[in-house]
Amino acid sequence: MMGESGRGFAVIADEVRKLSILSGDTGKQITARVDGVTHAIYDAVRIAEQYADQDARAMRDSERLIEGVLNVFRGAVGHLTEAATRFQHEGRAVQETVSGVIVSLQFQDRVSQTLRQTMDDMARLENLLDERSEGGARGEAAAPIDVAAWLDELSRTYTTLEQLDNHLGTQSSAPAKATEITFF
Amino acid sequence: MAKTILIVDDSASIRQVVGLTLKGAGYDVVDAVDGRDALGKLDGRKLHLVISDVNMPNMDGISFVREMKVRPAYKFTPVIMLTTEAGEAKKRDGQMAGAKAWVVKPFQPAQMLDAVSKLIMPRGREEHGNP
Repeated sequence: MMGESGRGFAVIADEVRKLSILSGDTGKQITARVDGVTHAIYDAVRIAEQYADQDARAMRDSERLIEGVLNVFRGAVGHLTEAATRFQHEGRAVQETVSGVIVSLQFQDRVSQTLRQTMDDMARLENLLDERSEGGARGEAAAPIDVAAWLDELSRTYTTLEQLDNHLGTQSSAPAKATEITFF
Repeated sequence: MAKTILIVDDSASIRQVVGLTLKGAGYDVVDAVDGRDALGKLDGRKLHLVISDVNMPNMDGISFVREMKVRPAYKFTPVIMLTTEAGEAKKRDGQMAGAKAWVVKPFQPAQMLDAVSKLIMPRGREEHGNP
């Protein structure tokens, strides 16, 4: 009985021993695996750190590059804005000059119109004097010129208030500076 | 499409300065030397506005506007009288003839353009009033 039990125990012990040996191997294998994994992790961390450094450097380089480009861009925009403002001022100045020329030309036209009327009136007077001179040569008595009627006729040719003011010696209107527009 | 404006003035320099002002603002310009010439240029022409002097040889501006307004195609065409005349009686004559505004020379280009844009009719009305 004891013999059988002893044999049985021996078998179990042998199995336990085998398991123990196997377990020891497994432990060693696990340890080796863990070591391997640990190394892999360290390597990965190191590589990641290297990449992180490279990325940081690349980021810093990119930032410097972008900053440089932005500075160039800011400078260019500044110059363009300055030039646009200058052109705008110059454009306004040219526009004002053109407006001034247009107004001056109209004044000139107004003066020409007044002079034309004056010349027409002088020509009319000249004709009248010629007629009277011819009449005098023929012995005809010359009636005195009706100055009031003459001036009245002259005043009907006026087209501006200034002419009427000059004629009457009055000041009924301010000198035209701004455009006078009446809407009906 | 650019709007067309007829300028009527016996003074070449006034026609030029008004034309210069209007063309600079993108308008098309047709000009005439007096009222009679202007009536001849109305025929079949699509006009959005007329700017006319008052004192001109052959036919004055008031008579021209009166004649123009008789023609159905130009009944609603707005007219600006541009003149050295500032008397109220003449202004009334212009208004009775059918003018919409009275501008005394010399005009400032910006103000003239403002008056022009105020008077040019909106599209619907313009189609009704022009050929």
